[in-house]
Amino acid sequence: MVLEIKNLTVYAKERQILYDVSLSLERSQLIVLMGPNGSGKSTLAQTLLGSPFYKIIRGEVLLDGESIVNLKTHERVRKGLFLVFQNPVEIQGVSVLNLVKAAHSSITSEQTSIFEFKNKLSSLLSFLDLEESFLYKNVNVEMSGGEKKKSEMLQLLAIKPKYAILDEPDSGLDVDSLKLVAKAITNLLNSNVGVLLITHYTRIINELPSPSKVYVMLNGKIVTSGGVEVAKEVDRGGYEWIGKN
Amino acid sequence: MDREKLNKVKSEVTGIEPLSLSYEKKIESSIGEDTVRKISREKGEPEWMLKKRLYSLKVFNSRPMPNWSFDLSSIINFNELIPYAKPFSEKLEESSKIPQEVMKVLEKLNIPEAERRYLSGSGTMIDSEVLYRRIKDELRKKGVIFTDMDTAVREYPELVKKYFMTFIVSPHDNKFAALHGALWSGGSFVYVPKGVKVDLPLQVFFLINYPKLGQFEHTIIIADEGSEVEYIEGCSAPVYSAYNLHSAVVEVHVKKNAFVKYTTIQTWTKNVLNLNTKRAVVEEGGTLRWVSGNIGSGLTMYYPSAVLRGKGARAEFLSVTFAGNGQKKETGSKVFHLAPETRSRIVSKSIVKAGGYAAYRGLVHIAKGAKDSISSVKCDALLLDDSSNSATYPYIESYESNSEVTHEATVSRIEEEKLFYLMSRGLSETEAKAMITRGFMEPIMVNLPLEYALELNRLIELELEGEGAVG
Repeated sequence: MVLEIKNLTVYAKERQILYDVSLSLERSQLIVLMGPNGSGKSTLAQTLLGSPFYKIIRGEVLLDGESIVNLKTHERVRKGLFLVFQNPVEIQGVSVLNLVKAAHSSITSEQTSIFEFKNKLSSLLSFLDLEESFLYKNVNVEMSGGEKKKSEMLQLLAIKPKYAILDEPDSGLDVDSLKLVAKAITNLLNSNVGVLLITHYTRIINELPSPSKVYVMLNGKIVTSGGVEVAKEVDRGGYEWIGKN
Repeated sequence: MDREKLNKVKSEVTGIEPLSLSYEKKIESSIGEDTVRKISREKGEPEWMLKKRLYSLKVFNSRPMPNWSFDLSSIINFNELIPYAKPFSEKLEESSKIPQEVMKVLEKLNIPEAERRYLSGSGTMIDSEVLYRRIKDELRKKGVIFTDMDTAVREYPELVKKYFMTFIVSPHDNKFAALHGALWSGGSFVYVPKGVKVDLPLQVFFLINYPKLGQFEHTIIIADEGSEVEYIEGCSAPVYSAYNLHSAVVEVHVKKNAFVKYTTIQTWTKNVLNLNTKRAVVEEGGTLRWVSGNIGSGLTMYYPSAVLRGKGARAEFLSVTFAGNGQKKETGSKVFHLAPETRSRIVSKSIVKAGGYAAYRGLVHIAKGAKDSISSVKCDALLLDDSSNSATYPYIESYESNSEVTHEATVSRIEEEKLFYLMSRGLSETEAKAMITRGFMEPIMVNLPLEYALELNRLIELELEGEGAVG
C-alpha cells in the first residue's frame, strides 16, 4: 500500500516547475517535504490532486499500484488521496457543515446516519478547540488564518483518507493550535493514514513521531533526503548548506 | 385546435402534461371592444368594471410597445392571442370536487400537502379562472378576506373600486398593464384587518393549460394598519410550441406599520412570455419584503416596485434570476422614496448559462423632502460559461442631498481555483458548480419558505446538469 511519485516533470503554462521528482509514501508513514518559498512544494501537492493549473509532461503517480494521472480530481480523491490546502479559497454561501457533509458522502463509502455524523463532527470540533458555530461559517470566508487551517484539518479528520498531503498546515498557527494539528496528524498516522507533510519549520516536526524520511526541494528538484537530521540541519543552517554539499 | 397532437408534446420536469379539460367557455376573438364586452358579460360584471375595462382598452390601443428592453413587437402577435378560456363550470370550495386530472397535477406540485402543513389558505387558478380557494375558518372569523377577484368585484365593490388600477398601478403605466386592465380575469383579493397577523402564508398557484392563451390574473392585497401577511405565488404550464402570455397586475397596499411579504416563484415553461406589472404602496412605518425566484419563462420583464410614501416606510427586494438556453430575462426593482427616513434594499442575483441572458434594470428615486432616506442596491451576476451574457442598468434619481444611495454590481464566473478546491473534496465538476451556484444564491434562498428553497435548489441543479428543468 503505497503512493508512488516517479520522475514527475511538471509545467505551469510554458514554465517548468518540477524536475524529475520521485518520492514514495506508505500507509501509516510520515514523510516530510521541506524547501524555501517557490521551490515547487505546493505545485507537487496540487499536481498530485490533478490541479488544472499544472501539466505533467513526464512521470507517473501510482496509488496502490494504479496510475492516477489521467483521473479527474474528484476521482483521485475518491480513491483515497486528500489535500490540505495552504491557502484554501473562499466559497461564499456554503457552510463548513455543508462542505464536510458533501465531502464525506462523496468520498467515503461509509453509511453513517446524520446523527452519527453530527456526533463525529462534534467530537472533532472539540478536539480542534472549535465551537459548534464554526460549522455554520461560510467556507474560508471571514475566517482567521488559524481558523482556515483548522477548517482544513476538520475536513481531513472527517474524511480520514488513505494518503493525506498537508501543505503547510502549521504556518501562522499559535503554539496551542500547532500542538493540536500535530496531535491530529499523529492520530491519523496511528489509524493507517500515510502523511506527506509540507513545511518550512521543524517546530511541527518536533511535535510529531519521527518521520520516515525528510526530503528537501530546491528549484523544483529533490536535492537531498534522509532522516530527521536533515530537518534539523535545515533548521540550523537554512537551505544554504545544501547547495554547498 | 389539435389537442391530441399537443398532448404529445412532452413536458419536462416542472412543466406539466397538457390537461385534457373540457372548456366551458372560450373567447377566441381578437382583442377589441367586442372581446372585452364578452368577457365582462361572461362574468356578469357591473357596469363600472366594464367601463374600467373599456378605458384600459383605449389606453392599450394608444400605447406603443415598451421600447426599453427586448423587441417585443417581433415576438408577440396580439391577433394570435387567446384572450379567455374557462376550463370548468363552477368554483370549488372543496378539493374533493377537483377533477382527478387536475388533482394529479396539484399533487405532483405538492400543493395539497403544503396546504395541510403550512398554509393559512390556498387557491389554484387554471387558465382564466380560479378553480378553488380556501382559507382557514379562524382567519375568516377574524375578518381576513381571501377570495378571487371576480368574487371581490361582486362582494366588495367599494374596496375594488378604490383599488383596482387606480393609485397603485394605472393602465397608463405600460402597454401590458393596459392590456391587462381590458382582459383581466381571476387572481386574488386579500384584505387583512387592522392588527391581524396571519401567521402562515396564503398561497396561490397558477396554471396555464390552454395553448396561446393570455393569462391576466389580477391581485390586490390590502394589509390594514399593523397587520401582517405573507402571500406566495407559484406557477406551471405545459411545454407548447406557441407562445402563451402571462401578464399579471399585482397591487399591494401596506398601510401604517403593516408588514407584507410577497413571494413569487416563477417556473413557467419557456413558451411563456412573462410581462407583469407588480407594485406596492407603503405607508408610514410599513414594511414590504418582496422575494422573487425568476427561474422559468423564455422571456421575462419583471420589475416589482414600491412607492414609499409614509415616513419610515421600508421595502426590500430580494431576487434570484436564472437564464439558461433560450431564456431572456430583464428583472429589477423600482423604488420611489417620497417620505423622510424611508429605507430600501435591493439584492439581485442572476445566474446565466448556455447562451442565456439576464439583465438587471432598476430605479431608485429619492424625492425632494425624503430626508434621511437610505437605499442600497446590490446586483451580482454569475456567468457559467462564455456564451452567456448579463447586463446592469441601474438608474438613480436623487433630489434630496440628505439621503444616501449605494449601488454595487459584480459579474463573476466560476473560478477554476474554486472548482479545483471543491473537486478536491470529492465533488464532481457538476456538483462543484452546483455548490458554488447554491452558495451564490444563498442570501436569497434563506428568505424563501424551506420547501421552495429546496425546490429551487433542485431546479437549479437540474438546469446545471443540462436537463433543462423548466422545459
